[in-house]
Amino acid sequence: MYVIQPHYHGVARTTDDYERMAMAGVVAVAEPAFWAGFDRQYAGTFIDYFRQISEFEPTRAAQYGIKHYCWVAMNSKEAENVSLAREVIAHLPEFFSKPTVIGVGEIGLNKNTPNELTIFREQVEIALKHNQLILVHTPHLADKLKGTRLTLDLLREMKAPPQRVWIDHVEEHTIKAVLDAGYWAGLTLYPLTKMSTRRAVDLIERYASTGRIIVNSSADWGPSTPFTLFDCILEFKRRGHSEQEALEIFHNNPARLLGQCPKFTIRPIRLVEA
Amino acid sequence: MLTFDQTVSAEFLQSRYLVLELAAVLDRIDEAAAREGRTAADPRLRFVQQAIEIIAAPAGRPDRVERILRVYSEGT
Repeated sequence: MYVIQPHYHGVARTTDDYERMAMAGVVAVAEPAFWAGFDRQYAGTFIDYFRQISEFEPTRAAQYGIKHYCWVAMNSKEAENVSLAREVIAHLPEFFSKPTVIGVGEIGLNKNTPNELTIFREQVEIALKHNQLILVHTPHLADKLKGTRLTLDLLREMKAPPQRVWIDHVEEHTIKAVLDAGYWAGLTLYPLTKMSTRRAVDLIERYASTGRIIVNSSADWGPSTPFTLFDCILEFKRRGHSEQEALEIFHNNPARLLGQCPKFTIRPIRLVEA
Repeated sequence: MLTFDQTVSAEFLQSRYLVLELAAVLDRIDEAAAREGRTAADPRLRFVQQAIEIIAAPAGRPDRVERILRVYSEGT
């Protein structure tokens, strides 16, 4: 089984993850820029963080044969600090030319505040101006439904090309609107809360025909693991789906989405009998 | 032992997760029945319905687990 882990925060994980993911069949990971668990004070801290995910993390992953890509952005939570966010955003174009940076993300909303919306809009603008893929975080829990509606309104207003935008952390009450509008819908698996592997497979079965489902484990500094992705693959196969159908969801869909950036070189694969 | 507020804070997200899991199980059963053009009727599902009724009863009797286990044991 070949697997792409399209949303993975390697900076928060040990190297054991890479080794075990490689043994499980992961051929590539993509690391979005995110909140570190505390609010940073200096733009320079973000710049170093972007250097870490665009320069150092690829070397860690490469030790295990995994290709590492990343997204750069001001995350939605720290976007509340507008002046800091603008300082950081001004540096994003410096990273777009790096060989493993594939887009702007994860941007979007956390508590649906006016400041978050302002910075979300400015980051969509810069992504469109530089022809970057876009990864959008949607709020968790009570803020998700409203946040998803605001996200769809903003992206429509800004004429972001839906086929180049991935809206992540969808659930049963938001996935249909995201897919109906033409975007990629991301199911982020967590071991204890939020989206479970079995619910994710329910949604895959309902919406796989769109060809725009992305499944990922997030895997960050909180309770999480990259291996919920493999729990999901196992549950998918346990329900009678074929190896090729699993490849379509867990390898080929992310390859098609991320492959719109020419730097992402992994292509969809099809099994044939020898 | 945890206080009331601590307990609610500690258990809220987990309770959300578990309620959604149960709802997803029931949706899965309904969808499977719909795919086969039949109604989602099975004697075992009556136990699930009774268990849900016990969970949904007003707060104040911390013996829900015991009562649900009795339903599955005795069907009462």
